[in-house]
Amino acid sequence: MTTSILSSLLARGAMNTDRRRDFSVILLILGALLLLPLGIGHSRYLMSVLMNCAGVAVIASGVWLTFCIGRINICQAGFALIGGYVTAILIAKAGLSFWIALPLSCLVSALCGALIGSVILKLKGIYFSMLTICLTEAIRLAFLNGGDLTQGSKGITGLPQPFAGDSALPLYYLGVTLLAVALAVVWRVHYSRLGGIFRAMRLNEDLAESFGVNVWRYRIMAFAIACALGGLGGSYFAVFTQSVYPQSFTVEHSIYYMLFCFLGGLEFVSGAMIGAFALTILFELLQDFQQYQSLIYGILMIVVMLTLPNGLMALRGFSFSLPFRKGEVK
Amino acid sequence: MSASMNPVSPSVSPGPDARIILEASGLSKRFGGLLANDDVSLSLGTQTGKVTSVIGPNGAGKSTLFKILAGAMPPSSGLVRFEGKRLGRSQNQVARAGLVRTFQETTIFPDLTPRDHVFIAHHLRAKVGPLPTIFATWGAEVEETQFRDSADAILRDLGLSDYAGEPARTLPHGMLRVLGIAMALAARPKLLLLDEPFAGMNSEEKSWASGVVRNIRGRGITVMLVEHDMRTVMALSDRVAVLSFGRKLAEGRPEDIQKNPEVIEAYLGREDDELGF
Amino acid sequence: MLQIIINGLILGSAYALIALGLTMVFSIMRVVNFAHGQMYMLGGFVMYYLYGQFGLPFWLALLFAGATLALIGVAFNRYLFQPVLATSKREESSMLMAVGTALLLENVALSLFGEKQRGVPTLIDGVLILNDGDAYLPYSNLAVAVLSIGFIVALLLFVQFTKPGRALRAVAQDKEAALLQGVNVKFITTLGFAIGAALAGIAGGLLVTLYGVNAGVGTNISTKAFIMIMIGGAGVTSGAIVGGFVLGMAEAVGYDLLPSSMTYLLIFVAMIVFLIFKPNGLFGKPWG
Repeated sequence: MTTSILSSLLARGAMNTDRRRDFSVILLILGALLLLPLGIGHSRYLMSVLMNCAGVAVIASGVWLTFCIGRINICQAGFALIGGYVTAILIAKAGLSFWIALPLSCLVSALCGALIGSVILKLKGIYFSMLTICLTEAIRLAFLNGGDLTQGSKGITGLPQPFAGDSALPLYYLGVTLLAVALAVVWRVHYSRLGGIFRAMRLNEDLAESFGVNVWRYRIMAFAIACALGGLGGSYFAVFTQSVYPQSFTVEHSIYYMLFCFLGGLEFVSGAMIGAFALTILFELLQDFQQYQSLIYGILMIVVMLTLPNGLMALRGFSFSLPFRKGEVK
Repeated sequence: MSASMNPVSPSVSPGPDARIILEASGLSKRFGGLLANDDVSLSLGTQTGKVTSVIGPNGAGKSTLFKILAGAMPPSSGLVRFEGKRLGRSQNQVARAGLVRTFQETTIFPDLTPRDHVFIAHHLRAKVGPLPTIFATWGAEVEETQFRDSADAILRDLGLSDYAGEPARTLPHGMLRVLGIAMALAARPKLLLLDEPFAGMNSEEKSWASGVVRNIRGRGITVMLVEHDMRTVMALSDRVAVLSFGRKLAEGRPEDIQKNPEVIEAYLGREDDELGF
Repeated sequence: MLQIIINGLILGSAYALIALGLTMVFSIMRVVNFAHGQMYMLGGFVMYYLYGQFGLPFWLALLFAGATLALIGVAFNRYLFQPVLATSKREESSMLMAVGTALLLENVALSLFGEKQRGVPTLIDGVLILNDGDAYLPYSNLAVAVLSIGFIVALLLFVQFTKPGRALRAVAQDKEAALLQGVNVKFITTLGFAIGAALAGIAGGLLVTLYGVNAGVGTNISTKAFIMIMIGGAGVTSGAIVGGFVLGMAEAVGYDLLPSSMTYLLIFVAMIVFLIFKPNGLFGKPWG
């Protein structure tokens, strides 16, 4: 995989200055994350802030990926919740090791995503977004009513740490690794031939179908991967906070993940990560304003919508510009 | 031409169990009160590499017939068989069976370059699945490079190399049509359906595009096109069918069609057609 | 059984009012007002303060609730939505703007009013007993239902028979054509949003007498409104009304038979299954 990422950098064409920039940003941030413990590793608090950022960035990158197929995904919190609960249940009830629970959570989230996606992905635009909001709520309710398995509103607590010992470092590096994996997957999906197909599907579905692209199948694929990333992040948070509740991931969180993508930039793979880190760290720094976090996010959303010169379509290289044919049933 | 583009000799003689490439039987299409196609039957025979054209004045029902043959619209009655089998339900199934069509409205991916277009169009030939692509296995890499090279070769053959790197929406109209053909070539279809390929072109572009169609035929791909412009079509086709008011008026070799009195009458008085006799 | 039907009808009429407000905004502006629930909540608070705390007459407080929200609607439309609608070609942009306004309203309310649940004194004391005790119908519930239906009918009459009402319908059907016919589209869109918001506020003001209100109820109401719209079909008044009653009945039946949070889980699942067969709702037009 590394060879392909490197070789894709060396490919010809003007577009690749963008790609190079994207890669540099990712490299920079990951590098910084790797080295930071040297300076601040002693501060549990700072470490946990960064771990939080990493987990959120993983989940947000799933939302970023759904933009590739032209959908605005507001149900990512639901899939993070699925990942979290699967991990918690497997560890607490089935006594499995975290290292088995983590990939399984990913898989379950992906399968749920594929299943649900096969139904809802034929909707587009606002219908799709409205449905995903309802879906997040539905998932929350499902876990609330899970009986003994999910322990209702009490949630599942007291999950053991996957690493022995007192240091936060192993868990921290796990977070950074998961982030790197998430970014690598999203990078490949976006910049490979597959990404080209997603772009084509988004720009002109009929044309893509005419040379054999099974649009329905690919949409589900993208959505399933996005949900898998959500599950991955959720699983990480389960062991990071050592607990999971029905309200661990709500509709509000779904909205925040979206906001991170907008702020970080939808053109670049690094966008979700940049947005997640920037805002999360910002709020940590402004401790006094934490109670107003939600309010400020709201204002930010408003400001972002007002200032993007062409709304979401200003985002170069992402070409949402599907000629809007009114009354078309698809 | 690069090694990956082996020209197959045109008009390969069919083997003993060759199937009829495309066969339409008794196609009719009704839109409310309008009968757009009336009992049209057509067969492309078993010989590959031929060019068949369907012509007719405006309103003859060519577009409708094209859509039915391409599997984009179901007929009200009648049947279409591609290589002896019925067409698939969805467009991507049809394409996968080997029937690729171009579009009438210049349907493109506006922000992608011609190189991207042709690259993506290789999709039908992809053997490496999505999961290996994501994990960037060696096989995926090789295939991707193969497709890129093939795309560049096709662009060169069709004379689009100069525009290869610009967003498609900046291309002149005539080039967009050829781009459509380039994409279809990338898909390596068994049958290529061209939807009014010469529409809106000036005479220079038309002669160039005709050369492109001859090029395609030279690769052993069977071509069927629906077109308005009779002059260009006559010089290019092995076989011509004429539609008028939804019915098939005549079918045969170009020189016979040109002499057919009914055909001449159908076109008489139509100013926008070039009779070309 | 009778009780369930009565509960369903009462809820249905209030929900239909909520759905109508949302559908009004959608049909005029193609905007899904995510903040609809928060506007409902604010209406409830206006009612709480004016009727509950300051003792204004009920009808006056209700009108104030509507008017306050109408004003907020006008302001949001002018300063937030019109700019977004002018520059963005995607529908989701305005929905996301609405998401931002929802967060804004909810958190302002939380700061001003705190988290506590508020209630107001019952409108009318007493209960109507039906069928020898088969069903109980508190007079306040009946009043709320009657008033809801009253407002719905008033809106339908307004849209059908008055000049601005007809202009609203024209814009909802075809903005370009309406413009060509000399309709002041800008004014009409403002009016539409104002009415939509006012309906949310009025619904909130009415329901606070039955269920009280707290600053966090917005998301819940918005989600319900979405369900109604998705079932009934967006942008169509019949869709909103039918959606409202369907949800009201579903809730009534559900709460009677199942534990409360299970009810909504089933409603969601049923809705998703329904959408497989009717992706545009019962009366909605295909819309991407």
